[in-house]
Amino acid sequence: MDPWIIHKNNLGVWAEQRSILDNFVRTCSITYNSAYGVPVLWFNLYDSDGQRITLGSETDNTTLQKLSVYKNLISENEHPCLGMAFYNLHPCHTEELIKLLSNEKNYVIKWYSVVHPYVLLPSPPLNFYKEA
Amino acid sequence: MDDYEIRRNIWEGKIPVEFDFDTREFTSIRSPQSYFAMLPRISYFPLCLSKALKFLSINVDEDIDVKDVWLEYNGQILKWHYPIGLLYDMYVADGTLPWVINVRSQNYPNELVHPSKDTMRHIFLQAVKEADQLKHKGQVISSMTKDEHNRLFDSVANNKFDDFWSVNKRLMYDETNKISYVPIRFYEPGSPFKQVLISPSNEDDSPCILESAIRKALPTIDFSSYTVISQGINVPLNTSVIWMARNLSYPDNFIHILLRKS
Repeated sequence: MDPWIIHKNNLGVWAEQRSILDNFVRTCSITYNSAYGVPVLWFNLYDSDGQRITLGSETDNTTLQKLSVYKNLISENEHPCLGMAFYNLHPCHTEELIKLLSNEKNYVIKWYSVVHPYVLLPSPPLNFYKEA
Repeated sequence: MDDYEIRRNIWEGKIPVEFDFDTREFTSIRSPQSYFAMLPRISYFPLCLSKALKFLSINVDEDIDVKDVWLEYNGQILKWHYPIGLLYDMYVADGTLPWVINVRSQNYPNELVHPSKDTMRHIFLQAVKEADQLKHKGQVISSMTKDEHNRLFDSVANNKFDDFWSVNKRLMYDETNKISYVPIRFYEPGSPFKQVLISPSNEDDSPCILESAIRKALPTIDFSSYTVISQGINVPLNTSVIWMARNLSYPDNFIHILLRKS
């Protein structure tokens, strides 16, 4: 798995990470939503031809079938820094879920532990929160 | 503060569009190869294509659905989760009408969101929720039922002004008249929008005007080389942003400001 890399442009800061998952290339991205004050996880899967995978469509692939179990928490929108379509775990859900984890003081660890089961992320970019 | 006539005019603003079906991709198409329509500025392309696609389907002897196509103007992919009026103001600098749009069927761009009604509903409601988060810390939207949320979207899809405002009036006007931040997005053609926290008032309690809001988002901007447009109108820089939020917002409750190099 590639490490998380912090990027910056005139629209904001984001952390990006790429991995190979089965035959797919997965790009993950974390941005910060200033309206809700929470981090947002974005991801895309690409096939071996570099085509973006449409989630939720009929598939024989077991990885995609596993992901479609979470389809109510995952939706599509525009990545705020890249301006491209990505799937995300929406910020308003993040807030609800985080309220349930009241014993964890480190906000990023808290958020990560909520998000991790869904997308099997590698170690979080802890310095991202400081930057954002 | 609130002007019913302005709200009504904004809602009813339309753009004449000519959809040209790309003959290199729709090779079996018979004549005529274009379809004309008057589209609402405040709506979204994926919600307005059914008649054009029905016409196309008849002409190519095949069922063409919105998920089989994408739209292009002047070589630019049209981001169809943006309102139609915003896209027109962004890309047709010389104000040409009708707006001639190329309908494509091959090589669906990776960067474009899918046009399913569910995705459009979600993106629209995400914006409405975020706007309420900014205005009222989400208190109004979370006091509404899912049915009321859906009515906001469905009334845009079906062009029903009264249905829309029967729900939206609670998001737009409240007894205290106090909002925390103004929902506003700033666009330059070819770039994703910039969004920053904009207070409705300045430190001295004077109302925040458009010029200061733009400066907060784009501190180095030189106003002499830009035209500032929203809802197809050149908006004066001394316009109060609260007034704009109440009267010039799109149905998603955001003010969408286009900054075009003049």
